[in-house]
Amino acid sequence: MTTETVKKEQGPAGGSAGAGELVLETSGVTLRFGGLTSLDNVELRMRRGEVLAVIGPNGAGKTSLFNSLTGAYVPQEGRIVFRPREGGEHSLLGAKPHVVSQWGLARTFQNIRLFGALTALENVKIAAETRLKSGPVSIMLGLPNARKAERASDRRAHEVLSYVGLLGKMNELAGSLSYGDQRRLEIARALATDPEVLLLDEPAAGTNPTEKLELEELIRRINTELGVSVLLIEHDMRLVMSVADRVMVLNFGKKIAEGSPSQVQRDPAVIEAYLGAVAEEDEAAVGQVVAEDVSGPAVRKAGTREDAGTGAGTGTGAEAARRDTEEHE
Amino acid sequence: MSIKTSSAEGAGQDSPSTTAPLSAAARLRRVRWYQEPRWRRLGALLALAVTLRLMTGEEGTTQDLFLALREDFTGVGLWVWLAIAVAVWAVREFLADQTSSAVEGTKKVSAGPLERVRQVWSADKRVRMGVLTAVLALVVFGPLGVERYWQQVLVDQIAIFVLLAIGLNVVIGWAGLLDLGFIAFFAIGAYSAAYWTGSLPVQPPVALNNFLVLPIAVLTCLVAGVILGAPTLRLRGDYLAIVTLGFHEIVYLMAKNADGVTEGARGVKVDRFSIDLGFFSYEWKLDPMPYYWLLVVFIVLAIFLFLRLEHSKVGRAWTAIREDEVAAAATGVPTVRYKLMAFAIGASTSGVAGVAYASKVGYFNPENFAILLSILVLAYVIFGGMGSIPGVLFGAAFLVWLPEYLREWVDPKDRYMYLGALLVIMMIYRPQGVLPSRRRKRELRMAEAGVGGADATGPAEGRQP
Amino acid sequence: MSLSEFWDFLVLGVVLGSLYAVIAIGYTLVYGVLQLLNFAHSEVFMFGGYGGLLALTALIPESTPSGMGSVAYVLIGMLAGAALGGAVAFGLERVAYRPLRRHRAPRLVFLITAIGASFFLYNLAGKLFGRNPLPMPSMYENKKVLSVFGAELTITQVLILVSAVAMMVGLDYVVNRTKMGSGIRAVAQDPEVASLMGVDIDKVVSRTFVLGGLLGGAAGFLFGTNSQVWYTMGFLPGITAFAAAVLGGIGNVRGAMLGGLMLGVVETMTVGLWGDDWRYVGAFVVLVLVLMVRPTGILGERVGRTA
Repeated sequence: MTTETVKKEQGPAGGSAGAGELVLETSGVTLRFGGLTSLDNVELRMRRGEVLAVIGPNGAGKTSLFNSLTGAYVPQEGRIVFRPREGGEHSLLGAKPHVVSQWGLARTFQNIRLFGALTALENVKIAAETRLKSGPVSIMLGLPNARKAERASDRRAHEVLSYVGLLGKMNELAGSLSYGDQRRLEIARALATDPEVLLLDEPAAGTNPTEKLELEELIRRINTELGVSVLLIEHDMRLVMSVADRVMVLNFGKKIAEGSPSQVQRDPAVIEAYLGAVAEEDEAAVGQVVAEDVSGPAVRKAGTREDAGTGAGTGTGAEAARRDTEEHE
Repeated sequence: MSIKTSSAEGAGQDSPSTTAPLSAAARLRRVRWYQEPRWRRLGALLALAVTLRLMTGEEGTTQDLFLALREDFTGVGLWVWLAIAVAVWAVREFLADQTSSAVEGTKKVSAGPLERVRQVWSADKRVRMGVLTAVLALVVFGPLGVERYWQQVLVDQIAIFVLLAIGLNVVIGWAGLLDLGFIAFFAIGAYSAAYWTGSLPVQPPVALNNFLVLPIAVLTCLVAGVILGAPTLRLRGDYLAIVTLGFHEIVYLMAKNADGVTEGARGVKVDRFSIDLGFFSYEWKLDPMPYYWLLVVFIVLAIFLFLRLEHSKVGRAWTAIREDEVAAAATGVPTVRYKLMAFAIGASTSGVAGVAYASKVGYFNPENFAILLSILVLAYVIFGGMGSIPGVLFGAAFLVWLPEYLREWVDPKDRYMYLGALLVIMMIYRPQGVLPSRRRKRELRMAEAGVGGADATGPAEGRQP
Repeated sequence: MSLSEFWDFLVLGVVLGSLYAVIAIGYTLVYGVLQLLNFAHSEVFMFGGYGGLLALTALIPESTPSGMGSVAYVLIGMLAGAALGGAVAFGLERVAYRPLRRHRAPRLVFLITAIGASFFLYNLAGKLFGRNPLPMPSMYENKKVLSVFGAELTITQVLILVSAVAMMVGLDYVVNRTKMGSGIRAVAQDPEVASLMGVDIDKVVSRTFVLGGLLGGAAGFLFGTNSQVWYTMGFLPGITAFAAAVLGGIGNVRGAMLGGLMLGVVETMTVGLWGDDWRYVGAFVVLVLVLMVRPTGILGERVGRTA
């Protein structure tokens, strides 16, 4: 029931409606900080209803990309276009962050940024309220429309919290929730703004294996049940391989590969990027990536086509292959 | 920079190559005697004693520059203070166990009943309403029994400053914006009253009753607040402090120097409040009590309206902005608009206070709007507890009353020195104020643990790469 | 305003602006390492004035000294001012700001502490030294010595200009060329990394305050020599210098110098055009206008790095 009410406000949703149509498109996005080029001519095409993962070593520009999409950074060059369901298009380049959110792009943060001194419910209500119209005067005078808006945001916040499974903890302070719950609360807060595209910045970082499984399921539900397109930055390759329809790989601010998870795994440039990073002792996540995800044969015989079928090694291989064929159709 | 930690300052003197090989840990542990915490504390207390002697010592004069210093350092007073410092130090260092157990004991004794009172308070709404009604009755009728002098203080200062503090609380306590030009809006309110009642050299299109000036003053201050805030609230939050300070100075200088418009330093005479509805008319005269009741009505109204705001989406948005402006914007909160709203609401409250003040005192001049007052109101809000209405009421009332009360014992000129010291001590030991708001208290605790902010003065992050 | 008046006011503005620049450096340095507006810096400046005043009142003879005597007294006054300014800045950091840093207090708390400390300090000075303005004892016969575009400069003005330039050059050297300066820059860029690299943050912050305090104190002495010394003398120059720091791009040492000069000239020009009553209005109007166009100041914020 809750699912349905949440979904209803999404309009004529469903993952398949209007699939194939681009919801988010960037071209030639270049972002420089002083002499450092953080994003270099990045192209991104996101179809409505898909889960697109962005992976790459630390410092590859993934979060810069998110910040550019949501208006936190203003790239010097390029085009970023968002096409909402109701038609038309918005340029996100240099748009104000709150406007981006109101257009329908919601995000979470890599280093959780909840309003810690507020309760979980209040955190979500803040997001739900940004769509409601009630001015300070009507609130001060206690006019009916202000009360109605207050009730509406309350209802919506309850729905979203129960959707992510935090209803029982709604009166706890956001800052005192467990790490995994905080991650879910951040997703809830983003969902409460009724997004068409959800940008998740390393949602699995720091969560335990059980929480990771729950998260995986949550992302899938958000994608299929609510019809929200998901753009995902993640280091945990198992999660990426299992939920992503397509993967895009960034390295040194450049897109070096794009395709289905299994394609990307076999891509020599990708393996090179990760191995190169290891050689430079870049960071721990790379070790994890190489160890568990780009499994055995693919690493040893870098990029040989014969390993296609067994490349992923895990249960996701079959699924990835299925998506492969779908894509070719 | 050399690789040392603060506790190893002394060890750095003898270089490792010349002395016997010491382990790094041993070198870190070596501390000169005066760097031990115990002796450091003694030093700090002695410095405090000297400062206190200077604070309470002789008043200096310009004729003899060294008079105060000479007296302070040769008199007995210094030795008294030093002795007290040493005594405090000795008790803390050597009798620590006994004192702390005594403190614990009293805490234990008082904890039980206090907890029970708190439970009754939070459980029963009727109790709360009852207490509130009693307090309100006391506030309304209590002052009838005090001397005329204190009645005047109550109206001219306490009530006006309470109203100002409630307004400033919206800006600083809820939205987390540091506004140092708050009294500028007070001045704008007062001069609006003078203008619209026809008391200035420049005549208004129609002369109005003081009460009708109230909405006009609200509107004027709202507009002034928006004009000042719109460009500055986009910037890093702490620029607002300096820009508002500058704004205050400009308003003050205009009031003082634009003789043709504001009468300049001569000051303005304004009519007092009056009502004439044909069938009913009343004039506020010299008796302070009718003004007092009028101001109580304003204050209660303001509290009522602002509390609704605090517990609505507006209040939540303010908290969000205060805690993490970037996350708030990413969640869709139009941060600049909400900050502007707080700023303008505060400004118009200040404007109302200005009209009320002008219509009470009947005469004012630019010196009534000195920069000092902006800082005073700020101090009241902080002392009571930013963001908490009871705290702000208490802070303003208490800190206005105290110097009046101490007038005979402490040189009035010195009271701002004590106020400054009080602010610093408050910020170090109790930044949440005497009667803090729950949200604020949590925020400060979380900031200490390293998560989140507690104000909107952080950098407006990364709009330009 | 005639052309010759224009030059007069311009030269006056540059002299005043060079003082503002020196004070502004104090704000900018502290901002660089702590991201804090040290409102109490104006009181450091004021105490600098009193430092010079006290030393000279105690030492200077009845008759105005001349020759090397004058030079010696000027140096004594400046050193005393700098010393008291540095001491006050040091104490301020130790007593008021360090405990807050330990608590990781929010910025609002820092700002309020700064305001409280400022209040305390200037009222304490008023209590100790009386509340009327005092002139600096005369260290030399203040003659006109130099003529620039017809504008005549007095010894005091030349003294201010020369010392301000010397201090700025010296500071630029300290920040960019010495070990202490590299510590300051490291902390300004990233305190966490700096502390991992073995920089003692407390010490660097303390030194930064003292450095700013030395400059502010010397500037206070010069300001007092030019006009008078009184307990609230820090307030308006303080705000103006702060505005100058913001104008040039806070955290940016060279920006502070540029901003100071600009606001000095704007101030004297305002006086020239509209009279002394409006002295401080011009500077604020310029500040607000510039910030609206360039929110990070003219040279841009570059905490820890000079332009």
